[in-house]
Amino acid sequence: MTSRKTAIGLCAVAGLVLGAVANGAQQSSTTFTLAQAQAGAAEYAENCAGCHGDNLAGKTNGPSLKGAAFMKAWGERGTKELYQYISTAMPPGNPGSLSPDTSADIVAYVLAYNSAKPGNLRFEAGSDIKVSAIATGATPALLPQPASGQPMSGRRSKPISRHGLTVAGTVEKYVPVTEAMLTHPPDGDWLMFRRNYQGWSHSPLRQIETSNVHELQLAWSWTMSQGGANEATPIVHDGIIFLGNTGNVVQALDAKTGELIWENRIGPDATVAYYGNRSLALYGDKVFIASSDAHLYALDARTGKIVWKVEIAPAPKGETGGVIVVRGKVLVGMMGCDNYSTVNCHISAYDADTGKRDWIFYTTALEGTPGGDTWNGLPNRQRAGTDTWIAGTYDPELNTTYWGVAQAKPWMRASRKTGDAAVLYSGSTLALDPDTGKLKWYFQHVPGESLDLDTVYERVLIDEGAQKTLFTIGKDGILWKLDRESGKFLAEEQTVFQNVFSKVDPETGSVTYRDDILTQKTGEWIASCPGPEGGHNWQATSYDAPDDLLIIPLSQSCVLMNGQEPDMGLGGGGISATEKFYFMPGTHRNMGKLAAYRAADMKQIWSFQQSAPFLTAVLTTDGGLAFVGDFDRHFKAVAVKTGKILWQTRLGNTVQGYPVSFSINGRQYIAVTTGLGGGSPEEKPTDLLRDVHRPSTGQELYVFALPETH
Amino acid sequence: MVRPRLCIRAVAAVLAVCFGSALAADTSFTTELDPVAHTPAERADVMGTGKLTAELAGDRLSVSGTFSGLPSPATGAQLRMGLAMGVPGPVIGELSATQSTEGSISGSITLSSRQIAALVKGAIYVQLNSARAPEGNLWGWLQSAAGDQ
Repeated sequence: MTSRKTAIGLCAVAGLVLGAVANGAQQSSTTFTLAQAQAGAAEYAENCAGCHGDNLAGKTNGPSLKGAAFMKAWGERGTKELYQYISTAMPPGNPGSLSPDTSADIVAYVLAYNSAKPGNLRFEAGSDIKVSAIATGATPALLPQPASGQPMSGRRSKPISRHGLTVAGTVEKYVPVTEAMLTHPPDGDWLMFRRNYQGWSHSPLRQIETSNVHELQLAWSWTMSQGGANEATPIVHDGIIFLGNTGNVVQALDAKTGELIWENRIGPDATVAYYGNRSLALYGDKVFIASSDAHLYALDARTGKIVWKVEIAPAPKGETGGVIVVRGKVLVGMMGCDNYSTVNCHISAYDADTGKRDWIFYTTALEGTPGGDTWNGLPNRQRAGTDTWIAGTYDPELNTTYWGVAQAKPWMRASRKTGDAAVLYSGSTLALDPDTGKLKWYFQHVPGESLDLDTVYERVLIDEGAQKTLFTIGKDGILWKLDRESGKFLAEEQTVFQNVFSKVDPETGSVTYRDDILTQKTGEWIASCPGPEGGHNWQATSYDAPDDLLIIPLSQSCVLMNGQEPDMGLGGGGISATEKFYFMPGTHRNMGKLAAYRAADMKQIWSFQQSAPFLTAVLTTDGGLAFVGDFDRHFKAVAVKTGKILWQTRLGNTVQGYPVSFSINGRQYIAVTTGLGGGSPEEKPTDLLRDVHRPSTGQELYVFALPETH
Repeated sequence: MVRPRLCIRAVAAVLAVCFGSALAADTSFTTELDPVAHTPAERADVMGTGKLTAELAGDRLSVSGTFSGLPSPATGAQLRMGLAMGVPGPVIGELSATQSTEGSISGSITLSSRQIAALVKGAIYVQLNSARAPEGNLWGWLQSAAGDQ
């Protein structure tokens, strides 16, 4: 469903809701008008539904705004505070951008959805009445249509995006990508998410190196789609950049000149704050994209035309994590599993030629399957979460693909009613056979995870002599080393301060939660350092093999988290929690940290801290450089061996995405995107770093190179 | 002059036995004051900054420091203890604070052995309350001055 259709649908729902409200429920003539709430429905769809769900039930990073959960969080608070929250803190990534009228309309809509009755007076910024005095939390049953053509107050009209192949063109002399190329990438290419199957994010190029990086200059830039969360990886093959924009817009650009060759605006358009595309994939003569509405597309790499399209999962599921191609199969994860549903989260594989689904592996252990008894007896439809929102890696020799699995939903065990159950395969590393989808082994890093501290991120594959290892790091900031043949725990290292675990067994890796986390109840504030920003988040590690260094972007902030009672029906669940943010003690308000760990012994070799967190993955090169960008618009090159900053420039907005390096005719380039939108990595510094000011737009691709005289 | 030094040495000796020699030197503590945990809507009420030091002499902890930049006048300050650094907890003693948007914090509080142990592991913090943030405006966890290079 497009966002326009969603908006129309929500307007209809809103009208029905409001009609029912007018016929009963709470009486009030002092809160808001029917017209405000009707306008608020469309404003909600435009600005809020991406995070809180079309039906206000809540999704990742967006709590429920209806029913018991909403009344628990807001019932005893005033409408003025609700207005202030929306007008100052929403939407994430661009807080304060809603006009006063828009904020008021959204308040009216949320109140109406919870059975508050409209009256004769408009809701204004200063209107203050206790929410529970006018709303019950019940969703009205009878729902009339709203007046058609109703204007939306205080909001400029938004152009309707045209979908389809909007720019026709042809990539001349395209060379199909082979399995051999994916296994041994050509030096000048960046063919997949983390460049190689092992997830190193390392380029063998060395024209740009420590002694000349200060000469780096902009070669060209390209304005990308606005809206959504721009966290892209430019995919590069033979001098062509294949670029995934928000709104599922795919473009082919001449990587030397920045000239657009073709563009396919697949859609649906991006909703505010969340859902971008972390990576496309190339194989044969096709470009693959998993769209934000959970469809997998194969485009003709030469022309951008759709070759085939399949559904990964029905709405409202989605996908942002990118895809990888292994032995002729396109492997894709899934997200949007926040709410109780008859469809559980899974990883699936599709024939690259035809789109035919080959296999499916449920990342939620279902009733009657191995691990299915780890959900405290909950039925399948209440086994939410376990999303896979970062594409996996692959070991060709072992023919095994490795994926991280996110936390269960709701976030807190008290909310999701799972007690001390492990809730497999949340918080796990999975080793799967890419031919069949069969599970070879799993390692659950945090059984029964309870604070939105995912361990879903990159799995980096490193051979240490004969031993084949796997490294990963999650939001809790623990760097893990596993034997990737057996899944056996090898070692762990704490990279930032944490107070969540009272003990991590150095022999087994078994974690013990702090006592109050284990005994939590809904309605209690529980402290978590790090909080959901991480530790570590989607900004991926790079492995620099020449120095055996893992260079890891880290963040430092904490939260108090308050679990709520979820709606246990279909569509319920969600995150069911509210948060308060604070600086991590002892960090001098430095939210950003970059650290290098030697893989062999997991010793920290260097680190430095700064106010702004890093919002890009790390790219290392054989030039001895590590490139990384931050929330405060700086893009930096540091020396791999020392961490010394050798070059930096300031871009138009937050440097966000996955930087890459490529070459054309012997000239090396560095490409990186800027972007807004996203979850905790954007939300927490937006609140805590009060001196950082960012434009409200500015999603771009920047390409740097040395002067042509080199 | 002799008695306090002896007392400090005695405490240090006890700490050395209880927590190891590395911790025995932890009689000087410091912290910076940061905004307390807040929602974005509460953010405007919890701004400000500050810096504190604390000295443990025997079982007596003396705290002093300054704060500034509060959005509303301070109403009081407290010593509190949580389960770990970064975990809020109950009040264990009252401190005095200038009733203004900037000023000083000071006070001395006798700690139990359990509280001294909590201090050594970083679980004791100072919280400054203000008119618009009566449940907390700034806070800071006391950490060994030796470790805060």
